[in-house]
Amino acid sequence: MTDGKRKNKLKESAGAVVCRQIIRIFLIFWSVLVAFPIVWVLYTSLKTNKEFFASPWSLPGVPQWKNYAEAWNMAKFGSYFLNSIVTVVITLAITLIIVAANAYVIAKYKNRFIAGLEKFYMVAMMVPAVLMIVPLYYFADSLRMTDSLVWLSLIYAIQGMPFYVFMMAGFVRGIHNALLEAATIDGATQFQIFFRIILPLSKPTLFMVMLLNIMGTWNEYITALTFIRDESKYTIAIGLSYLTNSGVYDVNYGRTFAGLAIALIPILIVYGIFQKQIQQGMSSSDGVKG
Amino acid sequence: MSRKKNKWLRQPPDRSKIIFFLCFCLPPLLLYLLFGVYPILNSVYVSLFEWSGFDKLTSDAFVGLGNYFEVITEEEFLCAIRNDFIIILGKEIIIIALTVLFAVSLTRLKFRKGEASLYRFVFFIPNVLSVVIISIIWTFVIDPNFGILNPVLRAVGLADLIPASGWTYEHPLGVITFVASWCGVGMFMLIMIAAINGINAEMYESATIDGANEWKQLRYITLPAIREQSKFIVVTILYQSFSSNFTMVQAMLGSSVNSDSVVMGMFVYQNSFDSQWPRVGYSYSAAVIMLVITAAVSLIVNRIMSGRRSVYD
Amino acid sequence: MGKKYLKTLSALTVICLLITCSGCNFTTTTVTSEIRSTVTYVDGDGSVVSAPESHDSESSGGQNTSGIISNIQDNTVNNAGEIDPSKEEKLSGSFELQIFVGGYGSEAWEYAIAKFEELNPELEVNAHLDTNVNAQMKTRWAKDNPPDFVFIEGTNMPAEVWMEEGKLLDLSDLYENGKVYGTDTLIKDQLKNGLVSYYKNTDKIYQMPVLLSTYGMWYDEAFLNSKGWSVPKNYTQLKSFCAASKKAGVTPLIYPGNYSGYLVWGLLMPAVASEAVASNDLDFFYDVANAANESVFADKRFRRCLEKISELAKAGYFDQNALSMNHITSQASWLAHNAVLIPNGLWLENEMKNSIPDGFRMRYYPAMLQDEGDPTCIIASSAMVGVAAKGKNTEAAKAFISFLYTDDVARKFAELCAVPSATRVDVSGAELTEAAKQVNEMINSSDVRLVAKGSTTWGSVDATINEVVNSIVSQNPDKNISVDEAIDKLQKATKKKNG
Repeated sequence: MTDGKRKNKLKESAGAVVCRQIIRIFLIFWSVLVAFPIVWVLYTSLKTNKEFFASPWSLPGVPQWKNYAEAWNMAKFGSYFLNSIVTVVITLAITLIIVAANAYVIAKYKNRFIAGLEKFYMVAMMVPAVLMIVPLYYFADSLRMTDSLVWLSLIYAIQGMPFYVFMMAGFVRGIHNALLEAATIDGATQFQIFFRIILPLSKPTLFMVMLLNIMGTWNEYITALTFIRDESKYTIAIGLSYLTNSGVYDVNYGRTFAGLAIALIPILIVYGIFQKQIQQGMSSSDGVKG
Repeated sequence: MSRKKNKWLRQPPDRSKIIFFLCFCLPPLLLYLLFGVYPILNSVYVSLFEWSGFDKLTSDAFVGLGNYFEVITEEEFLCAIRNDFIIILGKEIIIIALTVLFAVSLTRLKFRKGEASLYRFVFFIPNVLSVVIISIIWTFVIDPNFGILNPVLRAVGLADLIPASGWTYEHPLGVITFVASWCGVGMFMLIMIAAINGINAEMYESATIDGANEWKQLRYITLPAIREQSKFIVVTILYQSFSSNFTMVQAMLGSSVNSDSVVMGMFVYQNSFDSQWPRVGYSYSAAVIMLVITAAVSLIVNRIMSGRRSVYD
Repeated sequence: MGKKYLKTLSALTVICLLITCSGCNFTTTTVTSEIRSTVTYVDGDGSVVSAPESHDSESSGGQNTSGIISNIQDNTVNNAGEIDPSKEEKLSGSFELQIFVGGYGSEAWEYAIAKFEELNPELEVNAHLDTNVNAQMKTRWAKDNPPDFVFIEGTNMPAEVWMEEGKLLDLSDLYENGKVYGTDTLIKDQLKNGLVSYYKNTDKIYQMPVLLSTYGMWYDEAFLNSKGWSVPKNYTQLKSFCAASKKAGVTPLIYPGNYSGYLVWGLLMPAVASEAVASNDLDFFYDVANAANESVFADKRFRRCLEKISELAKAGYFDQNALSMNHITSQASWLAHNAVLIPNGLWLENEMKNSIPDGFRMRYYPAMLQDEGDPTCIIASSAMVGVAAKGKNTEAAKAFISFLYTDDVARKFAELCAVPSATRVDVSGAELTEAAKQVNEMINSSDVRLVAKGSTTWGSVDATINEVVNSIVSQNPDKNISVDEAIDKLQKATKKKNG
C-alpha cells in the first residue's frame, strides 16, 4: 500500500504532468505554511527580547542558549517532564487495554446488549469535552481526586475511550471469524484469544492509538489545569501555559519561545521516529478486508 | 441475556465471554458513567438553580427553567450558536477541499518517492502540537505590526485584503476557522490517503486494460472511496468541533471575545469560571442547550450521510 | 435508530417539565442588581461635602456610592517610624498567603514575607506566589477552607462575590484602631487619602490598600523633545498635538483593542472625573463608574467625553491596527515609536522593562481629555489585600497587613513595583526609576486632583463599555457606531444589569 503500487501502471498523459506541477506548487506552499512556524519558534527561541521586538522574523544574531536555561528554571521543566511522562505512561497503559478489549467486544460479540453499548459510546462521543470541565471541576473536588496524576490519567483514558474504540473496532471487524472460531474449537478461552490472536494482529492500529494517545496526553492542558493544583505535580502542558501567562507580565519572548521549544521538541522527535507506523496505522484502521 | 431470543444471538454467550466482558468492559463503562454521564446529569440539575459556585446550593436558589428562558433570549448566546456553525461550516469546506486535493494528488500523481513521503510527514505536524503553541504562533503571524502575513500580502500585491483594524478585530471567525483547519488537514489527509491506497490495485489494472484513461479512473474508481471517507471526515469534524472551537477561541482570543467571536463553549466557560460574578446555574443551562444542539445536529448529519447506519459502523 | 432517540428525548423533556413546573419561577434574576446608598465623603482638601440634591437620579435603585472613608486632611509625606518589635506579640501557628504574581512581580512580597518571618520565628509561613494561584485556590474558598491572607488582584478573583457572601473578614477595627506594626502610628493616619472604602452601604471594610494604582497617558520624553513637541495637558493641546504628530507621520494614539479598559480608564474616565469635579458633583462620576442608572449615560457631561473620543477617532488619530492587539504588542508598538501616546497603568515600566529601547525616556501624564481650564484628575484606586473570614490564623494576617505599612516594607514595595505606596512614607531616598519618581511627584502635586475610585464596579456593563469604545474608535464602516448609538447600548446594558 505505498506509492509504488500504481507506478508501473500508467503512462503519464500531458495533462497529468501539468497537473502535477501546478499541484506541486500548492503542496510546497502548504508545506511552508506548516513547517515555517515551527522553524520560526525554534530560531526565535535563540533571540534576545529586544532583537525580537526589533524584527520578529529575522534570524538571531548571537544564539542565546541561556534562554533555554532560563525557561527551564522559570517554568521548572525538570520536574514537569517527569510528571508528564508519568501521566502519559499511565494513560497509555490503561487506554491500550480497555480500548483493545472494548474494540474486540464491540466488533465480535454479536449481542443486543453489546449493540446497545456501541450506540451508547457513539452518542457519548458526540458530547463536547468542554462541557465536562466545569462539572468535573466541582465533582473532582468533592471526591478529593485532585492533585493526583493517577486520577488524571484515568480521566484521560476514560474520556478518550469512545473515539479510539471506534477507530480500532473497524479494524478488528476485519479479522476473519474463522480464525476465532478455530481457536474456540481448540478450547481457547476469551482471554487467550484476546491476548494471543487479536492483539498481535492489531499491532498497526494499536500503534496508531498509542501514538495519538501519547500526543494527546502530552499536549492536553485544560483538564490538567483543572485537576492539578499542587505545583510539584504539574505536567509540561500546565507549565507551558504558566510560562506563557506569566510571560505576559514579565515580557521576554526569547525565553517564552525557548519554553515552547522545550515542550515541542520531544513530541516532534517521537513523531519523527514513529511516523512510518503512524501512516501504516492510518491505513489499516479503515476496514481492511482481512 | 436470555437464551430464548436466539435470533439476536449468533453465538451463545459462554462463561468465558461473560467473564471477559465483566473484566474489561464493565469497569470502563462504570467509570465512564461516573466521569462522563454523572457530571452531565449534575449540570442539568444545577442548571435549575441560581448558584455562584461558592456557597452551598440551597433550595431557595431554585429557579426552575428561569435560566433556560434567560439564555435563549440572550443575544450573546444566540450569536455564539451562530458563530459555532459558521466556524464548523468553514472548517468542513476547507478541510474537505484540501484533504481531497492533497490525498488524490499524492496518490494518483507521480511524485518522486521521497517527495510524497516528505509531504505526508510534514503535513501531519500541526496535529502534534499543543493548542497553546499554535495560538501563540498564529497570533504573531497575523499581528498587524509584528506579523509576517501582512508584509507577504503586500509583497504579492494583495495589500487590499489587509483589514485596517487588524485580522482579529475585523474577521475573528475567519482567523479561527483558518487556524483550526490548518491544524486539522494533516490527520484527515492521511486517513484519506489510506482509504485510496486501500482500493484494490487490480481494479486500476483492469480499467487500464479496458482503455479507461486517468480521469475516468479517477471518477469511477477513486471517487467512491473518497466519498465514503469524506462522509467519515465530515462527521468526525462535526463531533470534534464543538469542543475544539472553544479551546481555539480561548487560546487565540482569550479575553477579547465579544459577540462577534464568542462560541457556545466559551459562553459556558465565561459565565462560570472566568467571571467576576460567576453564575454556574446559568452557564450550565447554556451547556445543556449546547449539548442538545450538538446531539441533534450530529444525529441529523449522521443520518444524512449514511442512511440508517452510522458512519462509524 | 433515530426514532428511539427521539422518543427518549421527548420523554426526558416531559419529565423535566413536570419536575420543574412545581417550582417554576419565570422571572429572570440578575445577580448583579445592586442597591446603593449615598454616603457623605470628605474632599481632598479636607472639606466635608455631601451628595448634592441637584443631581437627578432614577428610582431604579441606583444612586451613587463611594463609601469612601477619608480621614486625614492631606497627602503629605510622613514616616510611620522605626519598628520596635517589642511592641508586638510574637505570632505562632501557621500562616498561609495567596498572592497573585502579575504586573507587580513577586520580589516585594518575598521581601516582606522574609522580614516578617524574621520578626516572628515561630510562625510557619506558607506563601503561594504564582500566576495561577487564584484559579488553584478557588475551590478552597468555596469549601470554606481558604488561606489566611489574599492579594486581591489578577484573573479568577471574584472578590465581589466573596464580599457579598461574607467570605472576607471585616477589617474596620484594624483600620480604625490598628497601628502600623511595631509603631505608635495609627494605620488610618498613615494611609493616603481616599483609598479605603466601606463595602456598599454597610459599615464593613473588606479590603486594605497596599499600592496606589491608577491609569494615565504615557509618552517618550526623548522622542517628544527630538520633535520639539510639548506634552499635551488638556483637550485643546491634545488636538493640536495629535495634528502635529499625524503631520509628522507618526500615529498619535494607540491602545490595545483587546483590553479597551485601558482607554476607558486612561483617557475617558479622567475626563469624566474632571467634569464631575468642575460641576461640583462627584456623584456624577460615581454614578458613571457604577453604571448606577440609565440617565447618567445620557447626561451631557458624559456625552461630551464620548464625543471627544469620537472626534479624535474621526480625525484618524487612533492607530487602527491596534484594535486587534493585546496590551503587550500594542505597548511594543508604542516602544518602537509607531505611536506617541498610550493609556496604561502604572505597571507599564515594570512590565516592559526587558523591552525598552535605549534612549527611551518613559514619562507619565495623568489626564489629557479634559477641557482647558478644567481640573486635571487622577482616579486613584489601589491594589488591595484581604483576610479570609474563615482563615485559620486571621491574627497573623492582620498583623501582616499592618506590617506592610511599615516604612521599610512600604518603600520596598514602591521601589520594586514601581508604583506609589498606599502609605505616606517618604520615598525620596528609595531607588526609584525616573518614571516612578515623576509619577510620585504628579500624585503629590497640588495641580492635580485625586478622585478616589472606591469600590465602584461596572458589573456586566463592563463588557459593553469596552466594546462600545472600540466601536467608536474603529473607522471601519461596518464596525463604527455613533455616540448616540453608543449611549443607547450603554443604557440598554445598564437596564439589564439593574434588573
